[in-house]
Amino acid sequence: MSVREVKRRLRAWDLGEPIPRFATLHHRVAEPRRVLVVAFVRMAGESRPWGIAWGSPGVEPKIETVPDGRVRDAVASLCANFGEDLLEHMRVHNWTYDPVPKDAGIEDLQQVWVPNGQHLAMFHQLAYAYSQTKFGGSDRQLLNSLGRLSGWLFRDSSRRGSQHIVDASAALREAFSFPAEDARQAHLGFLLAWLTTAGTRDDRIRAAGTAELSSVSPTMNPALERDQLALLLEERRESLGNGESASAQEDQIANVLHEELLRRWLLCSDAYEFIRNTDRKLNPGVDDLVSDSLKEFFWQCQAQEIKIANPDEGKTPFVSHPETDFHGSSAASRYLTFAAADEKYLNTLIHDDAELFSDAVADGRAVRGTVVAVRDEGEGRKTTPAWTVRMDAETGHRIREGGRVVPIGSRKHWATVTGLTQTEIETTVHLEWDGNKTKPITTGIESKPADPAWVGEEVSLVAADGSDITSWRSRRVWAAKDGPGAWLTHGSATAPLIADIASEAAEPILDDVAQIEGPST
Amino acid sequence: MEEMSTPLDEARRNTRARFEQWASNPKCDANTLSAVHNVRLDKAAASIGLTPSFGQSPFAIARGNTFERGLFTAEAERLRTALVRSGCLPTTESSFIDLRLRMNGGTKVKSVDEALEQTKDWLAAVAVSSGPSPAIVAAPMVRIPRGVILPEALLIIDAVTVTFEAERPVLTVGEIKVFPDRGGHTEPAHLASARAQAGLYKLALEMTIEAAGLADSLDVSPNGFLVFTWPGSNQPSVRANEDLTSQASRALRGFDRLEASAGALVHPDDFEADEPALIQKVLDAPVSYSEACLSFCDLAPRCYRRAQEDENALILGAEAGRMLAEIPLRRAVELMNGQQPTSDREADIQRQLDMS
Repeated sequence: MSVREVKRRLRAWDLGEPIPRFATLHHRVAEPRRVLVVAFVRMAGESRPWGIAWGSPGVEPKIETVPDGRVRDAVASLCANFGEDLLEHMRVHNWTYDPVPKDAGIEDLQQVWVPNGQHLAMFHQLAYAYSQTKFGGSDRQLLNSLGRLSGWLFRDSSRRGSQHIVDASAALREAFSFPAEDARQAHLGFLLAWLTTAGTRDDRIRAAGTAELSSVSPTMNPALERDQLALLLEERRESLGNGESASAQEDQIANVLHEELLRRWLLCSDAYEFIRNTDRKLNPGVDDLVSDSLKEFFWQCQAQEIKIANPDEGKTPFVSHPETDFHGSSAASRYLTFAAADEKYLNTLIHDDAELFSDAVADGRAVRGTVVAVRDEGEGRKTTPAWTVRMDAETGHRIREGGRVVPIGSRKHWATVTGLTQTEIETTVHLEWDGNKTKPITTGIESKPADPAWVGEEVSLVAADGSDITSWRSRRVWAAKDGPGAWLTHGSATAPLIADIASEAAEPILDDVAQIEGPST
Repeated sequence: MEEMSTPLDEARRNTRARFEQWASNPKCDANTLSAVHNVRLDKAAASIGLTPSFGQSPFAIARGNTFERGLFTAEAERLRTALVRSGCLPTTESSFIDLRLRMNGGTKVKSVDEALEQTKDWLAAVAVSSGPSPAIVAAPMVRIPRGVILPEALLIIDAVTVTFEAERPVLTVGEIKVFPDRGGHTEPAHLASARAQAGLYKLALEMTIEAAGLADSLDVSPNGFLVFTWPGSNQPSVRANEDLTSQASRALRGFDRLEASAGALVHPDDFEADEPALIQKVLDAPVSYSEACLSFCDLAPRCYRRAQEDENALILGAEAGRMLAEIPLRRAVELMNGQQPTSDREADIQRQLDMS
């Protein structure tokens, strides 16, 4: 937590209510029909769901449960029902008449909202359980697709700026500063109580304290399992053992789970509505993030589903193992893709968000300074505007010689740092304009960089991101299969060739060259 | 003693859980007292009208038992295969020594005393052997030769492997948890608690060997192994070569603190879980509230309320607590709003707040 966040929490505590964290929203909130709110419950100690609630906000959710969360076949049927709707909602090839196309636009964004990170992790568990399962009978294909989509949703959730899956409590924490400990802020009910309770600080603390007594995580309160569900399951077992009907106990189990699921689902739905109806504007840079997310969805999920559905075309799909890559090139490429997303995020949003800029100044990624000299260092007819910018010596920064900076509010201009000197009084930065240097900067006095009128003006600069280069490197990983040392970097996997998913046969992991070139005939 | 059923035995059985509880917030005197004297925090909370919210689900306990039992079934076939695959054992030709109590799924050992005795015998036998036969040992029980937990500190180590390096036996401790191992996404808290426990085992085993005069003949590996589950199954996922050096030294520091607390005991025999005088002692002890308390302590709501009344910055998070420390929230707000600082400390806080 930064000192600025401490300061925001102090302010929020003083006011007695959460305060906006940033000037804009950093996440698109899709319209309700494009949103699926999903909540899980599971039996303690188990990885697979015991029940799932899903549906669009404002519409009665579907809630399905099984009597015993340890019975795999029953759980698989439950997941197949859920999977059918999830795959259709996400417009995954083969499971909808309207799959998301390669050239998808912003309106094609389909979102999944979950109450918190524990529910998000359930998608990872589904990937483990089903992405490579050989079981499931007639539902096997459906379960495999559900597993693959779940794996992609889970992986993509950790890509900075991802837009398809939304952890509702993280979204609220991103949008607001709450005067409370981090550990408490994982509870969606706690956050919503802070946001929606009228009255004084004490009233809100009381409401939030009451809200957090009810579990939101997929794992239910141990007391509920001990005092109700365990007894019902024991009675059910006895009834079945005696050859009697256990429908009474099963109904009661379903009722308990229904109530638990509905509470989680409603909380998530409320969070969605709260953020959707907040009066803060969406950061214009989010559209770029949505475009990137749609590309990720297509190439990492949809394209693989197309290959799987069309085996005659001879293209080998790459199905990521839920645990790790077991595949050097894929790991390198994905790492660089995620690194590029991380680099791009700040530079995409910072131009329209003063609070985000102030955060960046506090951690040295952006600076404020005054232009003290403007020169043209070009030779002949070539124009090369150069600036000298002075900053307070106490300003901490991460600007380095040879690095690039972008003026806040004019993202298409950029300059190279050609010199940096530091005295006890001030820091002097020498800049040489490269990008769009003959066009007026669209901020401040809105003049060309070579205009001497910039002298005396205060300017805000942010370190330029190198995400384009990083993205390019991620693509180059695959092209390197014919380059020097390819025998080492693109050879057979050093990791076990069999992805060992317990008690189930697993697909062999192909070596890199086979992945790239397709199966040998 | 046939089986562990008396309060004394209950206290013994819970030794590891008590140490874990203490390690969750070692700065809190109430927590330390509770761990050393076996005063249950849920009982203490209930005595002042709080509703205990922690405790384990019967399903989680059953799952854990099933998993552990499965590992040791058929001469520990499942565990052995996983240990060989992960390089913890050189060969599947290893023997299996089962020191589990009968009540914990063992077949031979009937009581705590017997378990302690057999563990001692086993260590002595290993000390004079020169291999080459490696072994898996289930649940050796050791008594920590220090007064860290009252009435005595007994630890059941989940599993130990015996291997040989240059004909010298090396013991490696293993910690078994039912947590799903999700590769790089495994819950950090699960990993941390498993590593902490394995470090505690390592230290306890070293101390036991030292006390038995076997240190010249036996080595304890600085590394351990963790056994988790593959998600959604009862198959083990082994994390080998976990360096336990820092966890063991942390456990040693913990022992020192616990011993000091144990030394201040009033009655050496009143360690029952719900003894009213001891509950009151825990309730009266100074506390050190932190976010960590929310995950294990039933008294946390009381301590939070106190922190709130004191306007302690900890209620805004650990970072805020570290930065503002003793400065109450109202005063911090005043400084943030530009009021004149009255000390160097306040001036420093104001400078930090102004700069950001």
